[in-house]
Amino acid sequence: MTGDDLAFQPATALAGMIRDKQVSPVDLVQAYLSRIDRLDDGLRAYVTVCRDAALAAARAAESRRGRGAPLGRLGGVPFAVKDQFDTKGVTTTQGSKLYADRVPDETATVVARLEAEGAILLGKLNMTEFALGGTQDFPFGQPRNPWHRAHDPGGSSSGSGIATAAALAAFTLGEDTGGSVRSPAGFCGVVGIRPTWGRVSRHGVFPLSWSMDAPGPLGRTVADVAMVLAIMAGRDPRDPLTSDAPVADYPAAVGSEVGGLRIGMITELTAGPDTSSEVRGAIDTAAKLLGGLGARVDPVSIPTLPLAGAVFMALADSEGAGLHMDALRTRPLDFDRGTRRRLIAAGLLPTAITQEAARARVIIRTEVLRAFDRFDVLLSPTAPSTAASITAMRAPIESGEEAARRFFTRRSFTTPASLAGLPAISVPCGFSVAGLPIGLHLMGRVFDESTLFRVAHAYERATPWHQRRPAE
Amino acid sequence: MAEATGLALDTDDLVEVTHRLNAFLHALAAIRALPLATVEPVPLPPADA
Repeated sequence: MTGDDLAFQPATALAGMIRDKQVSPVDLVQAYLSRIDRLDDGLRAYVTVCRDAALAAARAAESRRGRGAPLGRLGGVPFAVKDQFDTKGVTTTQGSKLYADRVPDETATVVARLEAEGAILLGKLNMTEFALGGTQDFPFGQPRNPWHRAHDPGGSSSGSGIATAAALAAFTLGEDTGGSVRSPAGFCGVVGIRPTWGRVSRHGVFPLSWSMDAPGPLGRTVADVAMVLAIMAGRDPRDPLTSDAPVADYPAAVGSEVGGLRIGMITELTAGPDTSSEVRGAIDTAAKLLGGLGARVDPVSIPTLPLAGAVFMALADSEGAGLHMDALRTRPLDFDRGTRRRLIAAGLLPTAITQEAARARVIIRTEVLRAFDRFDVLLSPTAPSTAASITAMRAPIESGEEAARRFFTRRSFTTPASLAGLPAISVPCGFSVAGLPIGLHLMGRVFDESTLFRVAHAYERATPWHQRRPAE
Repeated sequence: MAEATGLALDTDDLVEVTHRLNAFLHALAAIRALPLATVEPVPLPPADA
């Protein structure tokens, strides 16, 4: 197997190959470093590559293996994390010039948990500034979609989507407030999950919205994501909002059949006016396939969902504006102009209107939860269309209508789960004529990530999409 | 409004911030058709979470 073939192996397979002494952890780290050297100038997935530390960790893993010491569930497997996660002694920028030189003295809980299971940190990944989305001039390089470099990779965990799809790491971490794991997963053709709010610690993760932030993994297979989430999840005394609820055995859900499950296909998101015919066709085909596997798929209407994007942005962006107000006053030009304008607009929203949005959130959440009286999983596209071109993303905004179309419409596909605090996964479900990936979005009940893994894996096993590789 | 909040805006910023603010005001006008007075604006997910 060549280094490139090795790099594209699932993380779970790599862990087994290392345990069985079929692969050296040092060779594996070098395989990923070689791909980063060759491809990342064009893709800009990484902000920082921890070359020496990763090689040292790989040599230590090889030595442990030689002594017969336990390696951990992900022993020797290289991963990378969004630059929103604190890493002791490694620059953590939040994708912003304002934090370009910040070196934390502590590592985020979830990163530490993965390292404790033997995973090796390869580096820190590019992101839209402060996890907001809409960055115009990326201070650490323009991230590009590996399937078509003129296109956006999605955000805010842009580098996480790129590095996973282009095999610049075995798996990655992102943080999802309104879709920031699921959007890059969908646009880059990989798997990404937003866990139930409170399932995963946010300690050491730079905040955007306290009631919606949710760190989550991205991988090239559903089994990889299930394995990584199993390690990340659970109570953390340093994050008082993590739940005491027991963590399910996610890897055990992978491989279960879907017969008898009830799946609701959300009419407003699947067949609404904003959804492209290519995306709608791919989702219809996926729904039929799941029906053929024994699930019962029926349409469900949730009329308030098209409002979710605007409600989400009114709430999350206002929080963001509050968080950054001091720097907006004192160092406005150190913000990217897209971030600055987005935060200022939200900061000027009248409080009475954000209070109305907070009430609308409760109504949307109630409607979504009510749908789970009839269904186990809610199905829709991850986005209404494939990834936009970078040129289109950078075009000036000429009117309020255009701003609404550009910022609210797409977010209405991922933010219902965020507003409701529910888990949701994006899994590849096809490609457009232009060769850009399409994502299938599955939303589940509170703490029922297992059913999402069950459905996503059944779909993945029956389709070829996860086996494709982007051209170099 | 920006000045009152202590924020400096150049001309380009002002144009785009105005469009973005108008987008919010227009989109959020639609939520007034919902029974907003019947619920409390509690941001936490349900108790079983």
